[in-house]
Amino acid sequence: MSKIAVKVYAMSRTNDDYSGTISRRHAIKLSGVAGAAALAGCTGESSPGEMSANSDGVFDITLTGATNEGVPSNMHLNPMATQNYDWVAGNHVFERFAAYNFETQEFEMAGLSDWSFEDETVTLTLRDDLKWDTGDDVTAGDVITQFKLMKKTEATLWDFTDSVEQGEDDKTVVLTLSRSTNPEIIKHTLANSDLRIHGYQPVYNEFLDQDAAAIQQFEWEEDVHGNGPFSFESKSDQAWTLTRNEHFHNAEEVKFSTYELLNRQDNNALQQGLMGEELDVVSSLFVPPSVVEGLPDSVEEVTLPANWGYGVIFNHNHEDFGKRKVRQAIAHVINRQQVADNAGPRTKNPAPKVTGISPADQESWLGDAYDSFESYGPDATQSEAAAALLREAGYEKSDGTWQDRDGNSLGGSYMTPAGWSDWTTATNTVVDQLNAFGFDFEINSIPTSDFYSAYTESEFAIGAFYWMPGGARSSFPYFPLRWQLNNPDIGGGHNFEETEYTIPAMEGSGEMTINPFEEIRSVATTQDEAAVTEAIQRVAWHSNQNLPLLGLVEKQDQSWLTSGGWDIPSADDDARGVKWPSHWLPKQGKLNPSEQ
Amino acid sequence: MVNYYVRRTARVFVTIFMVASLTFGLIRLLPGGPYTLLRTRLLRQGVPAAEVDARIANLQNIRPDAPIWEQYIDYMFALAQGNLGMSISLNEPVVSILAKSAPWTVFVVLVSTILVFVIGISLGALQAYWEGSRFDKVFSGISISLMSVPFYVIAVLALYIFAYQFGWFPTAGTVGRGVEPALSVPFVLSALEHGMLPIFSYTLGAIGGQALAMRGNSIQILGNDYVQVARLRGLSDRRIATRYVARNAILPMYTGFLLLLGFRLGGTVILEQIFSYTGLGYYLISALNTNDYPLMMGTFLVITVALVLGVYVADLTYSKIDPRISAGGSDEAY
Repeated sequence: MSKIAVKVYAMSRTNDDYSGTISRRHAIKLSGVAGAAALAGCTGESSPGEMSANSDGVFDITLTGATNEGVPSNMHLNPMATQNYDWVAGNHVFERFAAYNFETQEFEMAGLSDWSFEDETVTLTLRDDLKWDTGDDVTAGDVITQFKLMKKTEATLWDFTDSVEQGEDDKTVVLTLSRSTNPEIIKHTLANSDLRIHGYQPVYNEFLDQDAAAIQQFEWEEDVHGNGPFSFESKSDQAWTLTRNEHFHNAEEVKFSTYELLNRQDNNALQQGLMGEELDVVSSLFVPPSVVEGLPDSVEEVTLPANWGYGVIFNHNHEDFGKRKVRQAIAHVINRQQVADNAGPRTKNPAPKVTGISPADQESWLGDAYDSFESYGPDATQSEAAAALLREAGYEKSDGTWQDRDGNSLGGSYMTPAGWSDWTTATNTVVDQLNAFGFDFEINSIPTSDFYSAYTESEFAIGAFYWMPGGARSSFPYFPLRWQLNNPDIGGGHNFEETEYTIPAMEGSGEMTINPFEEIRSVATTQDEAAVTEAIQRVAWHSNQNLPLLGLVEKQDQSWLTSGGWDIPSADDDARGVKWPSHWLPKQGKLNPSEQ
Repeated sequence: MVNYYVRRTARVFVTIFMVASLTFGLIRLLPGGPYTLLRTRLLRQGVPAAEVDARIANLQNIRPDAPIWEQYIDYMFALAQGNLGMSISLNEPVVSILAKSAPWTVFVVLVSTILVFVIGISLGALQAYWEGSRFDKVFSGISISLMSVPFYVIAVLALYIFAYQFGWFPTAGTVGRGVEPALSVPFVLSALEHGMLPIFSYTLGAIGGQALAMRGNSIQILGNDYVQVARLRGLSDRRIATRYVARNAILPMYTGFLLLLGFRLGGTVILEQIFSYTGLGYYLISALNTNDYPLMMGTFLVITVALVLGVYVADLTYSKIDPRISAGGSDEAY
């Protein structure tokens, strides 16, 4: 039985197109009678010799992606809910305000046509053609409802916002700030990938008079209306089915009818899905090099900075690791290039300098000062420098192990999360390097839940932890630098005290005193770019010298597209730089069925 | 006699009570709380940490943590009324989650276990009948080999070969997308199609053990005097094989069948994960990952109750099937 025949047969039986998925791509490619006949079997609207496009040029074809957020029938589409919101589906249903492009390092407008920043006022202008899938306009009232609800849920937008009201027309929203705020922070907050325009008033207005918990418990499953490129059609245990939203502002560029998201919980299932050409796109999936080699030629990998990655966290209250010189010695010993090579040569980059700033942005932010930053040997173990520091800190090497004055060996339990496979490799490498130098560490691998609670409760000495919070926001150094100091992910469990620190001066041989907390906070309220740059350089310098956290490698996120049956932009197209390509490209008209 | 049935029935309830209490205690000893994974997930989703904390705090206000003894008493009273509570992670009654997931698991386990017995018994009987023949030797070898391969290895291979490579079967799910859940031909066909690989994987490896057991039983019975007498009486081979040998050889396996049904329910935890088959095992893993105590308890209890009932039914009915055994005293099947 030919693959085309298999498809028609499968459809006639159950309307389940698993085998059709495999054959569809091949069927699309056939421009002859057989291909058209296969499509006709599904749609009943094509004629021999041509594909089944309707009068708008839309093909009755399904783009198949996947979600690993949970069984779709248990999930919903209320982005404000604490649990069970499937953001993978939500990203297609709701347009975002703006997006950060990692390629151009600039913001791109999406649901907004403009934003302007003036002292303590921010004006957001919604696109004129931004509509709900009912055909009604998305208005300032919808956004105001959403923002007011976000105030109840203590969203970060309200860290600097005092009030929100309608501007001169029903497409303009004006935010009045509680204090002068750096526009970059506001832009990153609005362009954060989890923030979508979803405040459909007929549904959300009723929550304005209720507690925050009410909106966070609300499961939006019926009568869902969005404004993104696709509308919610149905969900089952197996998949989300989304259909093209004809009222989307760029609908004429979306040339296919259906976007399906299969429920695939397991990384292996997602990898197999790409391998067997069952999936056309996967938004984010770690695929090891050995599996990448086995993927069909039509599968294309898009790598984007994760602004996240493996680092070393210290308990600053610990008698050994609370000492700056011990932390610096550890930084000298670790060969970051080797850690990256072992943990994932294709997807890990060593941080060129230990600064707390994302590797891709270090040079542009540090400018001329970049060279003066200590590198701690990114691709070497600097044993002599490390040994000198430990001796200065009062340790001696005896029988191959560094010991304090009481004869206690320098080391202990090195905490690492179990099951994070690439991190396990990184930890093995780091601990091997440290022990080879004369530390005495043993790996303590614990489940993720334990891992977080151990850090939150400060029940650790040293361990593995990510050194940036991740996401586009981390491209603006304010976010990772501040995050490393107060580490809200573990409730500040690393005990890095807010106080003044004396460190070597950035220039010359003297010393400087800095309260990095105060200094980084000043960035949030400064609109003067020169002052922002100077403050960021000073806090980065503090980070480089005092090591509140030790950043080792940065992860590259892997996103997946397929060219078999689909037109996708070339590797040098900047449009690939927005996360996630499988969400962003369709609405730009840059991921459509191939007509060849 | 009546006393015996009462004792057995009482023991069922005592066992379930004890298992429920034990699991309740053990589950609460698990590290982390129900919101730890949720917190991690929201952080990775890009929600800022302060906002995550606020969201979870709101959630905890709705479901405050009572002292453990109070939770235990509440749970046991609710359980007695058939109320298994609300799933923390799915915000849905546990009973309704079990109601929609259990039929899929029961379907796979029941069909698979019946197949294991039918095929295993037939194969074992033939092997015994032709004891020492090439057929016997070959299939004994195959049976031993199959026994030594864990079902999940077969499952992974079957999924890779038949679903991903050949595309003959679906790669995941219980029914096709777009198939209405109603008692209709497309639904039944789709369910069979989706259940095929899980059933195949769960059946293949287990056949060997049953075949060898049946072979052993049959050979032992073939050597009995009454079989020799039957032969001397000139009865046909067919009659001897079915009436004299098979019946007696199958008897000891009857209890095994009921127990295996219960045991194999637990095995679906791995199977359903491999096939993304949304049955009990799938939700059990999901509950474990999220420390969803009520859902974990619910799924554990279903599995326990199935096993206890298996033993109970075996005990009560064994004497009916084998008249040589009389009820009471030492007639317990397990």
